[in-house]
Amino acid sequence: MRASLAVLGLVLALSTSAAAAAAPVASAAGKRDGEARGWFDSKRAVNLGAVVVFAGLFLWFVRTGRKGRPLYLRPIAGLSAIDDAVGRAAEMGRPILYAPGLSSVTEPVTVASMGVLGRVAERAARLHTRVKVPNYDPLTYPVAQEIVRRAFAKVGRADEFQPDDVSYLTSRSFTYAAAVAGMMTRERTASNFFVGHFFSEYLILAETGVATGAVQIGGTDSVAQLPFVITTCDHTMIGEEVFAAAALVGDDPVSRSTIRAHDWFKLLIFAFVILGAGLKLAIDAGALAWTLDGLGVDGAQRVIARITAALYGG
Amino acid sequence: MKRALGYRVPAALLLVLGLFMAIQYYIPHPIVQAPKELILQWKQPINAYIIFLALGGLVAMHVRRVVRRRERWGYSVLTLAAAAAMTFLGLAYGIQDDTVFADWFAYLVTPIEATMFSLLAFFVASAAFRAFRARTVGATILLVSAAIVMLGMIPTVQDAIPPLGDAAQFLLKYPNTAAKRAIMVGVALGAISVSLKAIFGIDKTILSKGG
Repeated sequence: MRASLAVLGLVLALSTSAAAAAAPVASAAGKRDGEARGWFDSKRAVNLGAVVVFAGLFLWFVRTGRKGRPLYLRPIAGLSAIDDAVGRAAEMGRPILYAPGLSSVTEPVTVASMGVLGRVAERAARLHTRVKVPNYDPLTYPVAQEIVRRAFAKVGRADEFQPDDVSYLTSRSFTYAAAVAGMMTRERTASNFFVGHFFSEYLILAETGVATGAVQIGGTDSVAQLPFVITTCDHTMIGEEVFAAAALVGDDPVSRSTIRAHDWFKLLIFAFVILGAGLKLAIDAGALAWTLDGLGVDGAQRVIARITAALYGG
Repeated sequence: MKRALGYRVPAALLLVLGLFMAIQYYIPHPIVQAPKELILQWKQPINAYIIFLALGGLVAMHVRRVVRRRERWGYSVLTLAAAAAMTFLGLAYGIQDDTVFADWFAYLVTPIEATMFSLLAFFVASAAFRAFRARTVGATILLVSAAIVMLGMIPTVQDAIPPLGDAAQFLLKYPNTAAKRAIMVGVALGAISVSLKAIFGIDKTILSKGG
């Protein structure tokens, strides 16, 4: 019953986060549309186009993955270090700490973090090592507990799983930081994982880990906290690498192949950036007008004005 | 039946609701927006249940620690006493301004949290000290860039050495912004990818039971 309700909450949360996840591609246009009430919000056309192209690439690579074609994927250093970090904790006979961030499991980064948690918990269970997962978000807590429980059961060590190791602490960030820092100091955790979305309390957590001499692996989508993650962690997953790591930890070739969609879409964005920069330079230098006139295009200035409007949204 | 309730029904719900919530972003018509608002309202009772579940788990964990006299069980007594006291005060006298609950919050919780926040100053200093040791080429570039930005942001230095201020602005406006945007694009794509995998049932990490 408890797990079913948690799953239902997660379903609603994930479904509502899908639209939110699509928004950052071109969210600026979407914020200007307060008055629109038609069947299609034309100000979000670019956003829709980008999402459709990405979804197309995504489904294409899912198909490729199902066919079993081998794909080369760049290894992620932070991910490769997981096994070493878990092994270190096992050798020292100390627990592992896994902080899944402060955002709810309604956020895609926390969903990705849960994937990495599954891998960490499975390796830890194989080596008879405890994994402590302090939670900030009430909705993340039952999901994390289920994932760790399942990881221990998967390797036949269900009896070694201790439910109290995965706990809800508080939903106040600095109180959470104090509790987790205290946990690190008292339990002398050998390896700390910080994977998820963090705010200013991150540095308190990670610096405490440095002080206790733990090996630390960090990954976040929070641009503001990335410098601190890089400074305080031995291995880092930067931004998108957290999502890629979640796909790579599983052995599912379909899930892994979707990472190629990211790479191709980034290549497309890069091409548009180069094209836009080239057009801007050509317009500013007068080269575009000269070329269009030379080609005998009618209304060269009108064409340039439309390109400029497209570039600057005017 | 068990598998249907554990995976198939949530997966089907996720597919339908996920696609609907993605599509509604582009359709401002009330016929589409009204059900969206209704779905968002459905989240409220589930959230309330989840908070109750989480707090129940927290209390149960501390009670077990006290009953079994585990190491440092005294802290658990303190936690339970504080939780009970705040709950009693909130229920008995309300949580508005000028109540005992608000006073305890303002004069106990807030200063304790402010103390934790103030520790950041020291942690920033120790982290910066480690980051700015010029042991590699990358670390040296970081050190030089940081020195330029830190000095260039000081008004007195900007007046005394204008090129330093300009260099700081250049570093913030171009390389820094470009790097941030690159990370943000990657994060957005990753977020969409995770959502699509969940909606289409490709990622079974969370939904599958026993898996």
